Parts: sequence; structure tokens; C-alpha cells
Amino acid sequence: MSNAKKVRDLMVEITEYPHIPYWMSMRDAIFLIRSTYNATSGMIVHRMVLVFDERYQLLGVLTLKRLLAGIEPRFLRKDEKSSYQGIAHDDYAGLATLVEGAFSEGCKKEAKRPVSEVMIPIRATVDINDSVAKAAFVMLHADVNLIPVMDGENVGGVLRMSDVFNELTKIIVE
Amino acid sequence: MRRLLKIFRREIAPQKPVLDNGQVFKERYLYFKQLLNENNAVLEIMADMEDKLAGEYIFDMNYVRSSCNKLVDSVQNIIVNLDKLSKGKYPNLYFAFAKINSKIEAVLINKTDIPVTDFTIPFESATKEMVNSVGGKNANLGEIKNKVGLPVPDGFCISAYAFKKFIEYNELKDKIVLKSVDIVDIEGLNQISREAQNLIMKSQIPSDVETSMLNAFSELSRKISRGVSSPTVSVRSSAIYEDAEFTFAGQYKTVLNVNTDNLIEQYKKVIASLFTPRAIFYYKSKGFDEEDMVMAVGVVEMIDSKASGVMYSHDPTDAEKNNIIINAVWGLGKYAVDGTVSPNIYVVSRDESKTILEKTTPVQKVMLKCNSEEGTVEVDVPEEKRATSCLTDDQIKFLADYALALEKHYDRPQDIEWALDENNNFLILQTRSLRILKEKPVKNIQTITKNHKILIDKGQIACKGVGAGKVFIINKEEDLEKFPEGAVLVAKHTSPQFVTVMNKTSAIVIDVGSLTGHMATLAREYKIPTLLNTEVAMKTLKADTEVTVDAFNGNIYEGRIDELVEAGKRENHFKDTTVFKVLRELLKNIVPLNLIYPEDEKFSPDYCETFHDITRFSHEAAMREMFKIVDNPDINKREAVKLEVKIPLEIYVIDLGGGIKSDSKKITPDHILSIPMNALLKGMMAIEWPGPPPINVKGFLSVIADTTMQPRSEKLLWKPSFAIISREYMNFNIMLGYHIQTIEAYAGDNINDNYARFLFKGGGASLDRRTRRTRLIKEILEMMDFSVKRTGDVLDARITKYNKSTILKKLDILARMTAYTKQLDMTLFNDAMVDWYVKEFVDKYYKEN
Repeated sequence: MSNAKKVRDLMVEITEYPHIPYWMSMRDAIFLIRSTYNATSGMIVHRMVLVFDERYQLLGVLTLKRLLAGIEPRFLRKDEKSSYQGIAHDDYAGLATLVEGAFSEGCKKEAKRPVSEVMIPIRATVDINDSVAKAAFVMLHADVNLIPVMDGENVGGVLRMSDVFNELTKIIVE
Repeated sequence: MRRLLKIFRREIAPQKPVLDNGQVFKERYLYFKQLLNENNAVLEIMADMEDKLAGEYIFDMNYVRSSCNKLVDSVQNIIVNLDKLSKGKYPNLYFAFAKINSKIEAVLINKTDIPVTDFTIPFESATKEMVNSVGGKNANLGEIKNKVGLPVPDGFCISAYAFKKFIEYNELKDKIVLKSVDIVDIEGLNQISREAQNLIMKSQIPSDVETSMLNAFSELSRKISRGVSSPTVSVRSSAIYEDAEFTFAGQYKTVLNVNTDNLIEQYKKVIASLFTPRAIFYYKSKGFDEEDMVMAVGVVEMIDSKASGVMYSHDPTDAEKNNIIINAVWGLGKYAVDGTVSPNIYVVSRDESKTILEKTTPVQKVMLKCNSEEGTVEVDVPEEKRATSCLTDDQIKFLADYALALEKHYDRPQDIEWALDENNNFLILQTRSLRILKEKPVKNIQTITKNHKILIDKGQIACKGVGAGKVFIINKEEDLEKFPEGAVLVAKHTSPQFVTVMNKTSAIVIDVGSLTGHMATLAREYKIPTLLNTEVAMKTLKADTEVTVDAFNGNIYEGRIDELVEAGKRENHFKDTTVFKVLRELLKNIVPLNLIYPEDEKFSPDYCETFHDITRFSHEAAMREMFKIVDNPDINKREAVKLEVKIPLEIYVIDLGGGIKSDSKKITPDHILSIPMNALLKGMMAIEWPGPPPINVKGFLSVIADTTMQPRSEKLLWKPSFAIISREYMNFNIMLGYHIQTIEAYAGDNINDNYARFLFKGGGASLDRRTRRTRLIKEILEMMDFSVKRTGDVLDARITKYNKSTILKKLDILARMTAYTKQLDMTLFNDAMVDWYVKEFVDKYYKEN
């Protein structure tokens, strides 16, 4: 059965992912992600960046969503209660027209903030010998698309949701 | 060093009261400096060797040996200088060195053993175990005859021992010296090759060897005469490593249709082919030593075949396909393997049915046949045969069975030469392991139709991959001498000669050629993207224009398409060669670092397992000897005092004289009088250093994401940095993150004395990222007019003879760059990031200066 596969069979090497130290800015991270854009496929190859500290301890993961939320000027945030010029947050059409100009100015400033402020801290890990099914369980519960794989005390690699999905759904299509 | 002495004289001479102390210090400092220089040399050589292991460059045993020799010298010098500096404190370092050195020598000395045998050995007695006696090709023929039971022509081997006797008798070992041959110098290769071949042709065969050869020939003639008065033979190379792990496809000579009178002469010709330029290139690039260049020879009944060819028991370009491929030509097989004519191609399924899946029958106008006297002759293929298949369906299936039988016996796919005699009997002429490209699948590469012009969209893929470069057209053999680095080789016909430029070829495009030819075999061995049978490349592709060859889809594009090249990147070119294995084995005794933390009890000579360990230990011990940190330092005694400065560095300073204006135990930048040190500190304080780690996540996951196989530690991150200064001089050793750098400078009024030097090594990220960081630093330094030498993650840059204010400006930027590039290697995921950070640095910090 395909889900008898181990995490070690599916994980990718950590060096295959872009890395960034926590003190660097979101601007650096954005450029890093954009540098993996492939014109042939028209896709960004890497949608996540791993965040490390100076001792190469893995601190967290940056995602496209987090970065976009990070550079979005504060007044666009849903968690800030005040409305913008009388327009409530649920009035999306009104907001879009009003903030078009302000967005580009605001986001440049925001992008200077360090990535540590917007990364998703490591919430869970899986063991290299765990089954893919177990890893899927952990990833779903932690709500992450990427999870570090522990090989003893070291991070041996990372496991991606897309690979887990592929592996576990084989049974459906076979 | 002379300059340094001069500086010392000038700086130290006025300090009369401490002259004795100064003299002693001067001597110690010179040992220390020498040790540092050797330390840098070791790091540089190691980086270069590691770089070679990445597989982007070709190198030979000569490189490996000379690198090892240089390393041995430098490591010895380090030990000697430490010995003097510490007054003999570490005698065990000599033992550690001897232990490691003997391991290295054991890897380097690995001679081929030639067993003592008869000078000639009949095929009936040969088996695959006898490679060192009869050579690869003969051993396989014997094996097929005696163990597999398939038909091969009669014949005998002239043994490797006979070759050895021939070399010894003529004292050729001393006369043919290949050690100094640089394989990338094609002209030099040609010269050495000519000399070696002349020597062999002029040499005498020892009489006992000659007698044995002639007797064996008579015996063979008696067996194969079949009524013919003087049967002929082919004289075929059978080098020790030929057809074994390496194919040596088409590298050595085979002489067809030889009669008894010419046997001796032709034997010498075959032996001489051991030294053709392409064979020397092949040998050396695959990591063999000249000691390994041993040639046995096969003397084989000549089959004037009706048809012949090559077959592969598996499709070599695609392990997934379950097919046998058979090529056939009319006449002798030479035309099938050297690409003279396009052969018939039969693709046969490997299953029970042996279904013929494809059958291509191009028109063959000429063929090679035996001349009635001797030698071969090109004749016209009879009109009625020209467009007809060389083999019937039954014959194709029959041959396919042979291919599978051989594969089964050798337990791996085979590349087989076969012949069909006039009586319609098949004979196997040769078999060897087939190289099948089995790599991790390359990303799906699609044909690009938008924005890029396709120049050629047909051709047979001989080796998958993508390569881009300028078109270089080969019309004649001599053109190879001018073949430029990274060009795309375009030619009408295939030739095994092309092997001599395979180290610098991005791709190969051939108008007429065969998948089963020698050149295709070699291209696969060197993993060069190769398209064959493109038909119009010589006409369509213009010399010196850039093209991208996509040997996945069989397209050639105008211009360079980086994304295709990137997507088509293959595994290392030369990873499987012996020279690689030797280098990898050697590096085990050289590169791994076992001594990490100075405070560990195992941080001692007794635990040095590699040259890196010795270097690391000695560097640390030398720093300790040189910069003894004491509780109440006395500047006048040249003791290190701590510099209180608001940057995340722990700096200790030793004053050579005139560098510090205070006698206090702790000093601040205000106390520094050293002109270069002040400039550097100013730059370091002007830049923003990385902030503290985020509190919410610090240590959340206390694991090490190890990207370089080396343990990390806070201790390694923040080590003290040391500066030795005078008013106009500075030598500043900085430990920052996981790298070490030294900035040395002299900035005085005499422009001729002034210089700045920047040395850099290491990092915590993987080698590719570290290497990108040195590229980034190199680009910035070159913008600052430094001359820069970079090898992997080691960099050495200098600038001389600038006026004082310019040197100080450069130091200011060096300081900013130091902070800017701290642990930046982590982020350098691809080359685009390097370009981005260079631009950022220039915009932010360089332009304002």
C-alpha cells in the first residue's frame, strides 16, 4: 500500500529550499522568492523560505501569504478594529478603490521589517522514520504545508504537503 | 615578508626601551605570519580540491598528486612554525602528521599488478578474471567462448606480461614520461604522443616474445586455414582497463586483415595507439596513472563479414524503455562504429516475443571489405542490396537472443559488436558493459515556442541534457586544437577524436552518426548533451553564434536560454571516474574537521585525524601563543588589551608601537592611533549590524539544521578577534559567524609601502552558498580595484601603491562589507541573489564613498 512509505522516502533536502536569517528584511525574502521564478513554467518554484538563526537553528517558515500580509499597510489589516475613512472592513469594494495608491508606499516601508516578525514559527516536526500517513496527520493538525523532518537531533530535511498529497491520494486514482 | 621586515624595522626601532622585548616579539610575529600564510595556502588548496569534487571541471592524477604535495609541504611548514612559536610545545603534531600522510600515500600508490604469464595465451584459456593478463577485450572474448558458449572467432592473446617485457627491454619507461602532460594543452599532448609512438615503432620486440607470437600465429593459422594458404587476422587492442569499468570506446587501434609477415609491425602499431593524444587524454582524465597504461593485444581470425554491427541489450538513453537496439551495416563493422555510414537500426522488444518495433533502413552506398592481399578496401554496395535490410527478421530475433544471453551472463546491460560471416553464421567480436543513464529525473523540459527561434528540430538523442554555447564547427581534426571553452561542437561526422575536447564542450551536434558509435558512447560517458543525425546543422548553424541545444526534445534554439540550461542541469560529469574516487578517498584524510571547540579536551594533536584538524589546531594554538590574554595586560609588554566598542565583536589589540595612546587596561576607539585601524573601526560602526534574535522564538526548536555536516556552536560564532597594530599598520583577524577573515593594511606617506589585503574563508552554509558569497565579495572588491583570487569559498584580494586617503577609503568599505556579508551565505540560494546583493551594497554603501 502506498501510504506505507516512510517520511524519508519523500522528504527533500533542506538545502533545496531558500534560507534566510531572521534579521533580514521581508524585502530580502521577497526578492529571494521572486528569484526562483521560472519563465518557462511561469511559476515561482519556491513558495516558502526557511528562517534560521545564526547558529543554523531552524526558527520558522515564511510563506507567500505571510509575506503579503506582512507588507500590507497596517490599515488594511482585519484585526485592527478601526475602519478606514468610514469604510468598514467588510466593504471590500470600497476599500480596494480607496487604498490603491497608499498600498505601494506603505508596503515599501513595511518590507523593511525583519522576517522574524512575520514568519510562522516551527510548530511541529516529524521523524524521518514516521509513516507518510502519520506525517499527514501531524501536518493537518498543525495546519502547515511544510514540516521539518528530524533525523535524530538534526533536521534531516523537510516534507511538503504536495508530496504527501501525491503519495496518499495514489490509492484513489490507481 | 621583506616588506613586513621593513615595516617592523621602521615601527619598532624607535621603541628603544622595549627593544629586547620587541626583538623577541618580532621573531615570534614572523613565525606567526608564516604560519598564517601557510594556513591560507592550505585552505586555498583544500577549497580547490573540494571544488573539483563538485564535478564541474576535469582534472587528472597529476593535479591530485601535485595538490597533495603542496598540502603536505604547507602543513609541515605550519607545524614547524608553531613549533618555533611555542618553543616545542606540541611534538605530537609531528606524529599526527606522519599518520595522516601515510594514509594519503597509501591512497595515492595503487599500482596495477601485471601477473607473470606466458607471452601468448589462446582464447581457449582466457576468462574474464584474467583482465590483468590479457586485457579487457580478450578476457571478455575468452569468457564468451568458454563460459557463455556463444561463437567467437578463433584467436590468441599477446599478454600484458609480453608488453611489460617489451617496455623493459627497450627501457621505454624512462623515455616516455607522461606525468607532466597537461591534458588541456592539446598541442603539448600531440607532441608527447608523437614522441612516444615513434619510440615504440623504433623499438625491438624481445626475441623470446617474438618467437612466442610467431608460434602462436602458426598454430592459429593451422586451425583457421580451411584450405586457404595464408589466412589473415585482425590485431586488436586489449588494454587492461578497456571494456571493463571504462569503455575506452574507439580509443585504441585495431588493424584489420593482417598476414603473418606484418604481425610484428602491426603489434607495435596497436601498442603505440596506447599513446595517441585522445587515448592519453582519456586515460588521464579518467584518473589512471601511466603505470596503468598496459596493453595486451588480441590476434583474431579475420572475418570478412557480409554484414556487421553493434547491439545494445538495453536502450542506453532511456532505462525505462525495455528494448534491444541493433545496428547493422553491409560489410565490416568499422563503418557502423565510426559513423561513416548511417546504419540500419532495429528496435526489438526484450520480452519473449522479440517483436521488432522499429526498422530503419537507410540507403548504404559503400561498405568496407577485406582486401585480397591485406588491409581493407571501400567498395560499392551492390545496387540490389543498398536499400534493403542487412538482416532478416529471423536474424534480428536470433541476434537479440544473443544480446540477452550476454546480459544475463554478465548481469548487466551489454554493448556488443557482432559479425555475420559469408555462411550466415553470427560471431560475437566484442562485448562490454553498457552505460545507461540512470539519474534522478530532470524537471520536465518542454519545447519552448514563444519568444525563441528554433533553428533545428530534428535529430537523434545520443545523450540527454541541455547545453548552450557558441557554435564551433569542426571540419578537420586540427580544428580541435582551437576548440574554445564551453562551445557547442558541430560536425558532419562523429569521431572518437572528439573526446579530447569533451571537457570543454557544452553540447555536441552531428549531422551523420550513430547512436551505437564510439563517439556516442564517449558522449554518454562524459555526459555531454548530444544530438546525432541532425542532417542540416553544418549548414544551418553559423560559427560563433550562440545556441542552446535541448537534447531532451531534440531542439536547437537560437541564442542562450538560461532557464532551459538550468532546468536541464545534469549530475556531475566525471563523478564515476577513478580519479574522482581517488580524490574523494584522499579528501577523507584532508578535509573533515573533527577538532571544533578549543575548550574540548579532545582539541589536541592526538585527536587530529585530517590535515584540516592539524591546520585548525595549529591556527588556534598560534593565536593563543601570539595573543596571550592576561588579566592585567601591559601594552608595553605587547600584551593584548580589550577594545570596548559598540559592535558585536570581541576585539583584542596588540600595539607594535604608536598604535594606542593609552596605558589603560581597557581601551575605546578614541585611544586608537593606528590610522588603518581607525578607518576600519569607523566603517564598522557606521553600518547597522544584525539585531538580536526574536525573543518569542529563540531556542524554540533547539535543533541544528545541519547544512554542512559540521556541528555548530555559539562558541564558534563569537570568538575573540585580534588586531596587531602600529600607527600605520594593521593586521586584523576577525572571527565572524562561521567564517574567518583577515584584513591587513599599511597606510603611510610613502605610496610605495601602502597596501590593503583581504583574506576570507568559510561560512556556515552549504558549499554552493559559501561559494556564491565569495563571488559576491569578489565582485565588490573588483569594483574597488582589488585584484582578487578566488577558489571556492576562499578568497585572497589585495591592492597596492595607493595614496593613504584612498587606502583608508577602501578600508572603510571593507569594514562595511564585513558587516554586510556576515552570514549572508545562508541567503544565497541562487546566482540572482548574488547580483541583487552586489547591487544593494553598491547602492547603499559604495556610491556614497
